[in-house]
Amino acid sequence: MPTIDLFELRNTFAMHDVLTCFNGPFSHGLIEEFGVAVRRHLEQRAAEHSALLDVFAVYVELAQNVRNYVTMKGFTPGQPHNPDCAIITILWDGERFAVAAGNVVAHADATGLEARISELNALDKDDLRVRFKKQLRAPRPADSLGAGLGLLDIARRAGAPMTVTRTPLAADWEFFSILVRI
Amino acid sequence: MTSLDLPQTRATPRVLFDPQTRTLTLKGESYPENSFQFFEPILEWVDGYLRERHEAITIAVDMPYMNSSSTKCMLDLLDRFEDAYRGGQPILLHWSYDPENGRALDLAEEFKEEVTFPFETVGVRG
Repeated sequence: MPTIDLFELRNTFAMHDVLTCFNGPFSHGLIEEFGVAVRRHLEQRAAEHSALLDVFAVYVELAQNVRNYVTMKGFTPGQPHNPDCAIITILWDGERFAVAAGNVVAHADATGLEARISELNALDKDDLRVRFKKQLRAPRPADSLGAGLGLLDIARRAGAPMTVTRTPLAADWEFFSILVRI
Repeated sequence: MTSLDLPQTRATPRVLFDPQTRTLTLKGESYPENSFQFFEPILEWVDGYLRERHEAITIAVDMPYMNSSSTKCMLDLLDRFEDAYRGGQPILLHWSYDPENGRALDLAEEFKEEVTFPFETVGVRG
């Protein structure tokens, strides 16, 4: 019989400065709906406007990256470790916002992604601007549903190096999470 | 010439061409599930229009937020007007941005660097 101590879960959220959190299967409709809720939360924090938009933008890019990955891999409900599901959360410690997202990723993809993130972390804002403009002119990557610009846009909006956490699951899979401080 | 009039939704801008003033307006945020799919008919319409008509066109952009793939599509759109401009067609772009949003003007400037036609940035408080 399912059971849960919601007070404990609530305390865990509070301990980690979770402002709001979504966990489950992701659709684009849901990205939009949850996005509206995210914005409302942010407005209540009366954040500076550009910070607010940066948090929202990083949320959109991370959520759409996850969504595209799930689509590309053809994940369906009920597979082991629920690869069609993602967790995405907005954190607020009273001074700064952060956005974090996690989902099931193949080892090889995760290794490539981590390398790309460390590479972007090493660049300053001017380098990132140059990179972004170069990628804007590049042909669309054939193996991607996006324009290859998402992580660059996230890196440009980040106020600190992005951090990656990798947790092995069965066989070729792992849980990959990225935390972006604004 | 078919008309171009797409309603604004939460994740897509209003896109309207007014044949009287020959103004193409894009107004609203853009972060659809598939930006390329959303922009494709707009790009096709613009291609068709620019093939047939050679009078002056004004483009009015007021988009407080666009996701990264929409940025790419927007550049594709501006590239078409750039080609027309280089071919002698008068093009003017009016880009409204919120001065309270620190990054909004940067984005406009980044697009401006990519084209040579007249590109005005106008601060409008949101």
